[in-house]
Amino acid sequence: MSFFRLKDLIRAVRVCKTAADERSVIQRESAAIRTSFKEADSHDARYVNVQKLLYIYLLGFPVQFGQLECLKLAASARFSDKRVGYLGVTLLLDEKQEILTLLTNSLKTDMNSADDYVVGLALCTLANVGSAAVVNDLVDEVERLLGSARSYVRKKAALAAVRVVRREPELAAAFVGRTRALLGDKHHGVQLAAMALATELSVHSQEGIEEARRLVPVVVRQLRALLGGASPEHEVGGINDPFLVAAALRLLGMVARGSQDAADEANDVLTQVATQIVGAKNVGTAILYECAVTILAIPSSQALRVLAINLLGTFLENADNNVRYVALATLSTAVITEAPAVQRHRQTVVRCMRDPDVSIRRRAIDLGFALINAQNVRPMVADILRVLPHADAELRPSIVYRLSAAIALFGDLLDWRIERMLRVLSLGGAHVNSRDLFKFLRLVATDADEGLQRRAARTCFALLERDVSQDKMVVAGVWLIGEYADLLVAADHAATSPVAKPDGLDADDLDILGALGKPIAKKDSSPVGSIAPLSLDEDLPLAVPAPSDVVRLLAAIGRSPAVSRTSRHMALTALAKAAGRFSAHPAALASIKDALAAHRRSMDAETQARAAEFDKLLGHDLDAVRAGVVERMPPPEYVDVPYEEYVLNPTAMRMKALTIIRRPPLQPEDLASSDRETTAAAAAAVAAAAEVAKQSVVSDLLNLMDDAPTDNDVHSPPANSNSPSALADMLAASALSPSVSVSVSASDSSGFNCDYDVHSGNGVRLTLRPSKSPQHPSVVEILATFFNDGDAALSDLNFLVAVPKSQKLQISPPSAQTIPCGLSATQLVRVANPSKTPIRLRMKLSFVADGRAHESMFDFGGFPENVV
Amino acid sequence: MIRFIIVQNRQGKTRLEKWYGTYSEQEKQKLKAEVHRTVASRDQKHQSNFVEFHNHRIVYRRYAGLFFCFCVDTNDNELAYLEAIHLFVEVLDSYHGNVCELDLVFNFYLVYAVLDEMILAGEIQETSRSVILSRLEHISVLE
Repeated sequence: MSFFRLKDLIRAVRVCKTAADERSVIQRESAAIRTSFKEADSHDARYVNVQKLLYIYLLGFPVQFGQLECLKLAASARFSDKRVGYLGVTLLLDEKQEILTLLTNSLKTDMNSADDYVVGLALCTLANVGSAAVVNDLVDEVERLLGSARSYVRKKAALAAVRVVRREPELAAAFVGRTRALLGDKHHGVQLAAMALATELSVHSQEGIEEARRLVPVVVRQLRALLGGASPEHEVGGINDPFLVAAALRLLGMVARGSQDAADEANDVLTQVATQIVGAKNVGTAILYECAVTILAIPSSQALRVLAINLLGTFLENADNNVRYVALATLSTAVITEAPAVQRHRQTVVRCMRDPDVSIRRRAIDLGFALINAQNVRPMVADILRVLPHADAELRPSIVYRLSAAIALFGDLLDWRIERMLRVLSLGGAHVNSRDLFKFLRLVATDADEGLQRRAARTCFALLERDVSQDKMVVAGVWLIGEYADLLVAADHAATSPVAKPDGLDADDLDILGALGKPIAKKDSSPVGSIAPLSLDEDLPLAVPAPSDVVRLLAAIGRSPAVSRTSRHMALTALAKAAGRFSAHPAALASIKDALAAHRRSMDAETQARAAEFDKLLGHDLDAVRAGVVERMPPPEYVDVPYEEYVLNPTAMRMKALTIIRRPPLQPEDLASSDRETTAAAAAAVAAAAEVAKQSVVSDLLNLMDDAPTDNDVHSPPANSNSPSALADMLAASALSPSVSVSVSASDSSGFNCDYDVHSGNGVRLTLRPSKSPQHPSVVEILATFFNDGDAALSDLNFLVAVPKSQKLQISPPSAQTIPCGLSATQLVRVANPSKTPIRLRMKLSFVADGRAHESMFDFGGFPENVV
Repeated sequence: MIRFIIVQNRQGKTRLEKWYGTYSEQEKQKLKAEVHRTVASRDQKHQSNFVEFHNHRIVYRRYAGLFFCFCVDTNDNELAYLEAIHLFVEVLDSYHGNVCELDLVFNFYLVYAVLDEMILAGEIQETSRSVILSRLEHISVLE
């Protein structure tokens, strides 16, 4: 059964009730068409059949068998046949198919036809599906048609030329000389096509861009005419041919990029566009937007650039989602070059963070992070923290991560950093990753003094009294409370504590630590589990809790069904630690015992085991050792990987040209202000002279020094062992007290903990830094650092190491496989060397830079003899 | 430039597809399904008319039950393309006289003719409604 006309087929398909019906109708029809193709050779039948095939194609069924029929139909002499034939070609064929070359001849004939409409069809087909082979054959025709007397043909030929240049950039030369005449055409359609052609030529050929630069005055003149004149035919929303204006602005932006002269010529007309066009409707904003993008893309004057940013700033207040969306997208790029001007719109950006449209919220948050710098970090972090509880669930992990990075990168005062991190944990603790959590705990444990540690523990206590729903907050809080339980309950002596008062918190800032001494709210028997959302502006009562309160809280967390298994174990451990700290409070000890006993029947084996162990530990027979077991943890030994600034602005990372300015990596005041550390250092210095066993403490200390971000090494020349100047460099950089220098030199002469330059080439420098961990005396840990000194980002970094047979090797994964310009990546290599033979390494380094793969192999055996 | 144009109804039936880039048949099927999933699920009131799509961006507009989607480069002017969609619909409307989905179904080849007069090689060719309409009239006389 075959339907006679296209309409009948469409109707038959439309009455189908199910997809299966539709399929069967189409299958029968396809079969009928196929047979008809084989038998009949009449043009009429073919015309109808191809039309039907195209309909079937639109329904999503395969009709590739009709390709050849389309070609035949296109070669027909009748116009209606040609139309359907060429339509079939553009739909069923694409440039990858060989069969397309069969079309070249009919296209050529049609382009030479006397009939405009036939020429138009051929140009249209070429512009839509022309392959490299076809455009090569027809370039002469296209070029000739650019000079046609009919505007209808000229504009189609210009766009066909765009296709030609896209497929075969070498053919650009044929059109470069033609753009001037086309741009000056009086017909708008031709002008529009000419703008597209000129833009395309300047992308693909050097000649094209040079010619286009010469054309800047023409384009400027035309823009002026458009702004001044009126052509009702092309007017949209009161603006004269907005499409042409936008295309002209786009072309200007393209050619004036990197040309000061062109930018100067365009300066006035851009100002005119930016001031004259009214952005009340979508058309107006479209032009203003294009104008702002153009201004920012070219070396235009400072005043104009500020004007552009302000335009985008007003877009942020626009009621239309679309306008706010494009403004945020453009500002995120502009913030890199126009930071001060964009900063002025900070408040608006912050408002957009609460926009009803999720994509706008997302972009506003991205832009907000990109705006953060050392000056505005406090208000910005406060603003983003306010948004955090309302943020979309899928955005929260990234917000929390970037907040941690922003606080670490730009926070100058330690107490502010700790306070803000606690706030991040309390509001978004469910999304904090373990690495950030660990960094924070390490910060409190190593860098903070007792006053700060006490305040941190008290804040945690107050926060956990209210809410235990944020998992990482519970982990951090319970650890801090357990670790500093003695400080937590001790009476205040704020006067003697060096950094007890949170100074430097400005009015804009929200001080949660300030309200010391307010009476703690009397809680019900079970505070845990009641989730009271915290408002950010609220002060937390930071009263001194009694030991019994602390035990009650920890026990409640341990019991709570709401906390994770890890948190429960942490709570049990904290209880055990508290038992050590509260040895003078028998009542507290008794309730700790009760709390632990409750878990001895836990269904979870691990919880049960811990409860049993700690219960045993609290027995009287272990009184002598308990204090030693639960005493305060030594600062964790850990090579810190610092945050990079591009975390906050991923656009910056994509734009390779940007030089990333980083905060000075080391904060001597942080190190110096922490008196605990200095004491430890002094003790270590004395001990080092006397006892070799204490070497471990010294190396702890040195590790501490290493904890300062490794990019410190970028600035100081790599130290050679035993060289006094290198030693001086290290000391100058670390700003440690003189007493430490003794121990440093003692250790330094060992050859450990200094950098050895191993390899440099192809824009990469590799240094090795051997160190030894006290736990494993036979293992040398070598930290390999790769610096990207070149001008392109490195990717696919791969570092392989081999050692002699007597040694064993373990390689950790690199910190990153991609290194942006000027940054570095690290990789830890452990060499187990029980026989203490000299360490020799054979290394193979491979990476991709600028699209090219590099590979090099080299040996190194230059460590001093004692590095074994 | 415009990478492709797809017009779909709310059920995801494609009423018009035009590819200015080169895609294989399988890719086309996949992209059509993906465009429908992406666009149809968006909130018309509270969301912008732009959505990131692979490495490009879809600019779309809904007229009654039809979604007109232009997939464009990310550095293109989205607002201008939004205006272009409107122009296209206006021309269709004048051409068919109050256009509806059925017009697009029964006269799909005429819709392509309108499109070819307005957009070529992924670039906007003509923006004057009267020029496009008079051209189409001439063509229908020829047939």
